[in-house]
Amino acid sequence: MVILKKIYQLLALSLLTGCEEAFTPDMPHTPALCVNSLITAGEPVEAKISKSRLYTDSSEKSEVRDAEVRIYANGELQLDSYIPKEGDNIRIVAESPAVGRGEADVLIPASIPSPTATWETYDVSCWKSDNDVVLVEFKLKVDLRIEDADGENYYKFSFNSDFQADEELDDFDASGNYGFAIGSLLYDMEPIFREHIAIFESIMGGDAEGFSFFSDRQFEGKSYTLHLQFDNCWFRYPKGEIPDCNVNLIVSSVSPSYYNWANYIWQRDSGTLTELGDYGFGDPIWGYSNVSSGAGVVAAQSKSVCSIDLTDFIRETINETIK
Amino acid sequence: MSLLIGVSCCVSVVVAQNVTIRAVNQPAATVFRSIVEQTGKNFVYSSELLKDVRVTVKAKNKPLNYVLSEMFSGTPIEYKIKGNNIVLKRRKKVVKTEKIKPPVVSVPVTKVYESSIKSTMLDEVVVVSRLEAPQVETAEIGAKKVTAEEVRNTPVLFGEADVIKALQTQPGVTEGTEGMAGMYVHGGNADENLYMLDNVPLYQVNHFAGLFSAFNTDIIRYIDFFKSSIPAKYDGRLSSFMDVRLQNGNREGHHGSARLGLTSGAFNISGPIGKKTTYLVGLRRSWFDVLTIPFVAIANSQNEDEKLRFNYYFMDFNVRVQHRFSPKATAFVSFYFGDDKLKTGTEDKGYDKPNYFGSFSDDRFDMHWGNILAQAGLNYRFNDNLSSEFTAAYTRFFSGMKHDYISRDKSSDHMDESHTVLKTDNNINDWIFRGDFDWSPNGNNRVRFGAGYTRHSFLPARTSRLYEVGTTHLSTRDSTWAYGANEVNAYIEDDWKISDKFRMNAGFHGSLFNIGGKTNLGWSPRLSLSYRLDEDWAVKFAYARTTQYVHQLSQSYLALPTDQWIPISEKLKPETADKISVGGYWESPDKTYAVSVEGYYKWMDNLVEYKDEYYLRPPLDLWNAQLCSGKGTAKGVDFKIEKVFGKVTGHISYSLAWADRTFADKNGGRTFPAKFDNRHTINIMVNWKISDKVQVNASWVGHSGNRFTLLNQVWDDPDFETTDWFGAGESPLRTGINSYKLPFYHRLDLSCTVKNKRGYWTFGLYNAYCHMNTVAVKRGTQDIAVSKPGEYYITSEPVFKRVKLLPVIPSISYTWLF
Repeated sequence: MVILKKIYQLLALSLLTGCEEAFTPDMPHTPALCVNSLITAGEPVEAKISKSRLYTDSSEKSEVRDAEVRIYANGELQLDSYIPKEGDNIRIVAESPAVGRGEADVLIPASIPSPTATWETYDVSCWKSDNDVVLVEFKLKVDLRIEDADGENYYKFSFNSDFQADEELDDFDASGNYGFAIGSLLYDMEPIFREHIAIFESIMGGDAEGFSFFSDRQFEGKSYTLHLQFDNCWFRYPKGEIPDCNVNLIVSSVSPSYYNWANYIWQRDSGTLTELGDYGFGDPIWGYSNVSSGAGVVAAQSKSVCSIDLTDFIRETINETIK
Repeated sequence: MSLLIGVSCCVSVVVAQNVTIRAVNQPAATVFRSIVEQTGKNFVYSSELLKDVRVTVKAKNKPLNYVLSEMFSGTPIEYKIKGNNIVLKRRKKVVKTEKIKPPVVSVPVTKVYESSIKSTMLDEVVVVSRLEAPQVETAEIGAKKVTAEEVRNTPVLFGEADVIKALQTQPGVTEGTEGMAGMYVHGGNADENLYMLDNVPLYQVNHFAGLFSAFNTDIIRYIDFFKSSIPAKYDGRLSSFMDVRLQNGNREGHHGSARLGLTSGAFNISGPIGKKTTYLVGLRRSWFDVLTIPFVAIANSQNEDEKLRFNYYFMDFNVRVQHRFSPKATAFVSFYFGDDKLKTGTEDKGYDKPNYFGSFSDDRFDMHWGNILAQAGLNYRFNDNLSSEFTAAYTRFFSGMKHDYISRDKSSDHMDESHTVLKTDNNINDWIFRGDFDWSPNGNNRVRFGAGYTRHSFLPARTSRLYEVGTTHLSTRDSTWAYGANEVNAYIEDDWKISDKFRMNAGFHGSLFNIGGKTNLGWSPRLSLSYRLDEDWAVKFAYARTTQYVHQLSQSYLALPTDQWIPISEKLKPETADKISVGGYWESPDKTYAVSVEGYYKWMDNLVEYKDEYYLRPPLDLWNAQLCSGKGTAKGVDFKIEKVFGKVTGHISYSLAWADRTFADKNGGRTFPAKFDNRHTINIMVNWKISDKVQVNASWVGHSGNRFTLLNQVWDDPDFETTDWFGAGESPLRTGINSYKLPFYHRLDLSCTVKNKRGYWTFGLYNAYCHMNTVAVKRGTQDIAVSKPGEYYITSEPVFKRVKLLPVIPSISYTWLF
């Protein structure tokens, strides 16, 4: 339905929009202190402090070097060695003599019990090249079941792999293109990833591509199964010993600020409000922030991981296909 | 135009030439009403002409000519029956005896009338309105009767005559977004205006995202518009009330018009059905679906696999049938249907072939929104002093969006299939029953009273989703339910001429609105006072309280089906406004010019808007979770100079205004300017009747720029661990809402009407001198050429850009009269 968005833009541009004219608005601007931090349970806290700048002044640096940052956990000032844990109520306070002050509170959400997964592969193919390099291509379908706690909760799904290629193999193949990869996740195949998309946005071509945040509004206090499909998965390696090939499916409990930030980015880049605002048909949208200065996001998360081991599948595929 | 008075009865249908009447020393206007009801004729006259004229006539089944001669004998008035109209003029001998140049009221009346005859627009010029008299004679402030001719003489975009755009030229009324049929009255919002079609509310009054209003101007007679003094009969909106009255059916024969314009066409016909019944049918429909056929065909011919669907139209359909049972009783039924429909989508079946792996998708999108109105009315005259109107009506607003998407991916050993259906509905159904009475106990009092009951049924934005992916089935629906509400209202007002100089209109409108087990009381007192300093001068004061139980929420300044009409609820109180107004009025001795100055101050409470960042709430959230309530104030002064008669007519107006809002959940709780807080607004309207065949109209508007939320700072996006979807960038820093004022706006529109034997051409030029006005400011980039010794390259730098809309746009249409 991207065509609709193009029609809409065509109408706006050719029929209505006569021209655009660069100018410098006469409007005061006072920099605001920007605090960005993603706090993960079990990991040290980092915060990036910067400042806002005039949009047109690309030469102006946003760095702030004189800021003092204090971290409070459950009301108590913490030292650098502080490691946050689930349930901690954290306040980050940053102050700069030149720019001002910014502070934000965030609660580290409780992680969910480890998800359980069932999986299958399909569209499997396997080749061996002349130089004994094996290529396995496949698609992966996973049903990942999560248990939701009572109350309003927000989640993010992500995935990675612990696969480690043998460093010596670089000498074997100049391309260095050995490895194991879980390809692209088909976001639109999981309805919950489209939860934030209103019908008008859907009509205008908005999709869930890349967006894996969701809330429990549709399954509060119950279990829910994520239907995950991965295209373009591959394994390429010299024939012989096969390293461990696993996929980590990560379901993070995230703070509302993290979810809102992600949702804002989607609305900004894929929603219709930005374009309505650009043409004067709506109000512009500003960046979501939970920092008192209006700049920056302080978010938190707790991760739960479910690992799938594909090593045996790859080994069997190679053995069955390449005699 | 305010001197041009007509009295007719909108339900009179029979041309009865014999009249039975008995009146002794009664005001002439009162006697006219009885004659109108019996004959179906209309009276055309200047109000000044009838000042203090009382008549005595006794007749039983006598010819109309006899009755008129009897009635006007001994008065300075002469009459002439022209077609369906009785034109009254001052006798010529009176004119000759004047020492100074006399008020030539009869001449312009006649001329306007004659020109109307030639264009067969008699019913539109001859109107019935409670705003009959000149402003110096009435108690009301900020009230305006707009005739159909005035609407047609207002140059507009695409040449599509428009009721709302005609009202936009009035002082105190702001158009909002350029080109749109929006209306923001005295600092109010777009949903604070009650639009009525023959006295019954319409919710959806726009087509095509707001470019056109939903009223077919070819079949309307006049519009009563109130923005300061609100008659007690009306309530339910905060800012203004607009009652659009349709033409009566033609009693003489079957006549009508057909119009062909750039964007739409219209066909209207009216005539008699037997001796006691008339009909009126009007149809207007856009051409967009026809115009887009070749473009869609070309696009599809370029792509064999993907087929585009696109079909959009809007239409209005009106039917009105009247029947006269007796001189005392007439009845009518009317029906209106107006809608916009958009059906579009794509079908991609490039790989849907045997033994071929790939994908197939079918993407369909339907939007349908509009209004249905059905009405039955009975007018009954108990006696010469008491008449009534009983109404039963049904009005339905509907808005629905549906997105239906099917996809199939075939591979060697597998097929993925998904089906997604998203649907949103927003409806209102109102059943209305009311009785209105008009009682003139004596020559100095006119009491209007009535009561009504409305059964509302609201369905605010119910969203449902269905996902079928393989064997997975996920169906969800938000918890919005239909709300039933009962509204009872009653009103009474007395227009009391206390003395020759002092006049008062006092009344109140009370209402009870029951929803969700809770009853809200609306108490809306009204008062208008007028004091005539002398014949030509008057000063006035008015107070009005208004209450609103239904609100429209819009994500944009366009009229889109995403707009939602919602009722008050346990979380939302009724909106209220209190407004005081003062005014001074002057008319030139010859009644050619009218000057007015009106000031106002308005307090608004419990206004409803979306919260800041409401869009971060998911669509399945309950509809009222995204809302907040607050306050607003508006104040200002409206000046207007109007030339009523002559070859050149028109007006010049200037408004000085302020409007602001304060919401706890918006702008950090700080007060901010309203979007259309236009400090200065000037409107100039000129209608030049060059000859009987040619008329030129010009409209110039200039106003302080609209308010805009200019986000001039940015901050670095956080580089949180993300999926591949996120990219580090920058986000705008929030600033004060509407804190930036766009540049001064100005525009000239022209139109020219050329009549021929069969109809008339209308030529239009929107934005004639092509001053493209700034409607927004966006952040963008601009390419910069960098030239250094030994290198030359293009780079881009961030800039703010003024977005300008709507260049000069010509239009043409032809209307065939038959």
